[in-house]
Amino acid sequence: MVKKDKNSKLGWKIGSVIIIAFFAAIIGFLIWFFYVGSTKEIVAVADQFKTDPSWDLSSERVEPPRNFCIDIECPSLSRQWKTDSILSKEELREYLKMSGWDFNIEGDCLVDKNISGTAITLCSASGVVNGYKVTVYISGSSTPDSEGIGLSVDGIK
Amino acid sequence: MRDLLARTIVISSLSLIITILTASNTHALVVDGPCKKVDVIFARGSGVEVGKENTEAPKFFGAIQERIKNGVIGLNIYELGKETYGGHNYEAVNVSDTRNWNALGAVTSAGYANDYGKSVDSGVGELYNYVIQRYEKCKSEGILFILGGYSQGAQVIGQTLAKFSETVRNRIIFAGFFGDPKLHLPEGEGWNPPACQGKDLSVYRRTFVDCDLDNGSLGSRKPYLPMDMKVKSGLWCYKSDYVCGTSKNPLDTSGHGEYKNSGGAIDEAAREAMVKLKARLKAEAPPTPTPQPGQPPTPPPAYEALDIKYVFGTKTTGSNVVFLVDASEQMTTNHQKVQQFINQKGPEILASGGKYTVIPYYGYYGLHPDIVAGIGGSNYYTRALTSPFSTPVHEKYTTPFIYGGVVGDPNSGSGQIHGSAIAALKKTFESLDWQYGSTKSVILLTNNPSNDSNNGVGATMEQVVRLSLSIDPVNVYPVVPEEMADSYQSLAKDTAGQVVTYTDDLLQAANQAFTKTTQRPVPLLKNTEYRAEPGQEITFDASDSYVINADITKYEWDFDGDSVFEATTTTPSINHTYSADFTGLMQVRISASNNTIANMSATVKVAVTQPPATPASPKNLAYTITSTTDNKSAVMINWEQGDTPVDRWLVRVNDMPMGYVEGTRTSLEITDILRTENVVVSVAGATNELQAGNYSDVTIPALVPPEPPITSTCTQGNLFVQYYCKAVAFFKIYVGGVWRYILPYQI
Repeated sequence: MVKKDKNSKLGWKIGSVIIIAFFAAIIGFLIWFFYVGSTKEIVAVADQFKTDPSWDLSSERVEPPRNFCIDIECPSLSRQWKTDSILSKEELREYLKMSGWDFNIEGDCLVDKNISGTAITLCSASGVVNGYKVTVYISGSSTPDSEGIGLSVDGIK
Repeated sequence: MRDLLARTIVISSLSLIITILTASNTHALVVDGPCKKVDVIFARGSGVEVGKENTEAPKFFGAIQERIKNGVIGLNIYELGKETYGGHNYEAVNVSDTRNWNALGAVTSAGYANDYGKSVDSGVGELYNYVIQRYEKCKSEGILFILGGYSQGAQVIGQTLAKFSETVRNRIIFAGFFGDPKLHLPEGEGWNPPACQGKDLSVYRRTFVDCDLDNGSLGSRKPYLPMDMKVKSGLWCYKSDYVCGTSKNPLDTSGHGEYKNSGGAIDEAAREAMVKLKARLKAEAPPTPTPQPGQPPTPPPAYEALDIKYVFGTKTTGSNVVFLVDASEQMTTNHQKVQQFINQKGPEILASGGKYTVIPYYGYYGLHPDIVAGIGGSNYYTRALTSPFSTPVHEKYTTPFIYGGVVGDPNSGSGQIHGSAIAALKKTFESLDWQYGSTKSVILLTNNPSNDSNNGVGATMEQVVRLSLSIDPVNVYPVVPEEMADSYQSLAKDTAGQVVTYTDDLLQAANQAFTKTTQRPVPLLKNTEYRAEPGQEITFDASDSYVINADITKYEWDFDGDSVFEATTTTPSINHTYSADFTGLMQVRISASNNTIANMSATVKVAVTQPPATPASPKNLAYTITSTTDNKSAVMINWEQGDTPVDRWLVRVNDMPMGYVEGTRTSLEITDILRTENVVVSVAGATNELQAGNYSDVTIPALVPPEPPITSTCTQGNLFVQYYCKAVAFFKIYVGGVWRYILPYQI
């Protein structure tokens, strides 16, 4: 009789452990799945970029670190400004210098008169800052009102 | 009257001021811009910011712009979502934010409903209206369109193409689809599909993985493309891409972000678009007049300047290069040259989007306390200091090593042991994270002979060659003194590399080897895996292979991976039938007119296999209307288990996939079913991999307006007439949306 009670208790204990482990696994997965990290670090990197007061911030998007990420980098940050005119390569170099970023600039920052429409990248400068891939780029096309400068910060996998 | 006049003037003035202010705040729309020869349009992926650098859209635009040299052809660029057309603005809703449930909404509606579906619809609306407006504005100037879409954007492009008239589609010269969640490759459907034998491949197929691939994560759109667009489209789906279906694991999306890599799908699509643009412009160009004597020659037409070579500007395709450096004391005199070579070529590889690493190695005799770190057995060891490929930025080669050993290694300095190169290669192949789709090579810098010696270094030539083949393969280019060439010939040949020799100038020879790696052919088989039954013919097709600035001269075929090439052809494909079971590798080796060669391997499995049991169909499928409001009903669908249990039940409404429920379920409530027309609900048993059996259907009839009350029209005349009228009024039928009497009841 005593032995039977012991077996019964053991069965309950094992069963309880299995059930608790099962629910713990589910809760663990849900926490992992819905995890959203802090954007503080990536925003701090982006804030290092020195901008001109005359630039008009036209869009900004920040994606926090996540475990489930499709089509975009997580974390990532994008800021785009409209400028009065297309910045020259020298001006871009100056802003990079002010920001403390020693990046090589690729492209001549000049508009191809045969290309119109949505602004495209005319030149860009990339480097790694605090473990993030940072790209600053000048965009424009022969269409008026398309001049701008953009900042892209992506986490490195 | 005067008061009225004054009011009119004030109102008119205000209207004018408002109009001027509004106009000054509205910038010119892209659609109103000048007509150019080609409009390039791209639809971005879910959650991507319009205009963000390092994403697919700028890569697509840049790749096309690079190939139109010196602006010889006018381009108009448009990224979907930038402006609003026809009241639509492509949202590209984010599916990564698990708290907005967009991903779930997309999967459960097969991408046609919920916020995701609305986002796709907004893209379809914007794209359709933009293209139509541009076409109307610029058709007299012969406008042409190039389209591209990534992920959700690929779905947008695909769905819109069917809405254009054939006339408009005729002006679309190319459409590129990257990681499309609505992918459809009919050749991958069913058990032992024809794609596995290299047969019936879709003309738009540009993927080289998984011959079973038939649909994307949101099901497939059927027909995938209008018939006339199939030859003008390219569909890329990399491995480890859950979105387009090469992986069934929703968390496996590492391949989904690689389409924009240098030398990747988007670069390839840009080249293909240029090939089609060139052909089109050539076909539409007026005949060139014969130059008259004394007159200057006619300049070549603009399309001749279009770059259709596999060279991206000054760049080469993405490559993985390993500099495997013999660090034994015999190499001491070459130290400076080796460093100079690597420091010069490393940045070139990075600039072209490739990756490289440097692995010094040396052999020694004697027991080593750290056997795990070394390679080998008994008393011979090889140490190879492996370091991973780094991307996107790799530091310059500054690894401190001295010849005859490595700094800090107390056991170094024992000199070179024959066979160490083989052992180091094995370690190199096994340890690195080779990049899918890149060309792969090892430049082996040594002045010691090779020795496939079995003298204890723990690797054989055969192992190394098989490893090379199984990776993709990796071609080995030994750079060795002339007198040692023979000992490396077999290694180079069997890995489709080449031996480059030197007498005293290692640097020149190393540069020559590097040049060969960049100028060799790039072999591409249609599949990376083939499957068949004994006696079943397989088509091996390497027609996508290419070579820069040269021609392919021959294709050699090794059907069983033993490095013996059983057939040689000058055409890029061959049929082969395996008579018995076989599991292993095959390879094709391609030679080019610039004295370079390269190979590609694929796995082959030939065996008699039984088709898997088809999941059972449900029995007694029926429906019950649970409620109806405003022509929309909630419907309970019930069924019974079939003859055998199934893992899941797939549910479709009017042939549109709605999702699945677990195999233990026998009912499902579907809400908001629009009843203006008959609705067909289909249920099929399926496996966990969503391999469906046969569907059973049940039709829910359309709602019909209530029958008009007959008493209202049968209240005249005497009682007999009224009863007669009511009796006849029952003989009515419902035709064309109204009740009609089959007998006249007005007596």
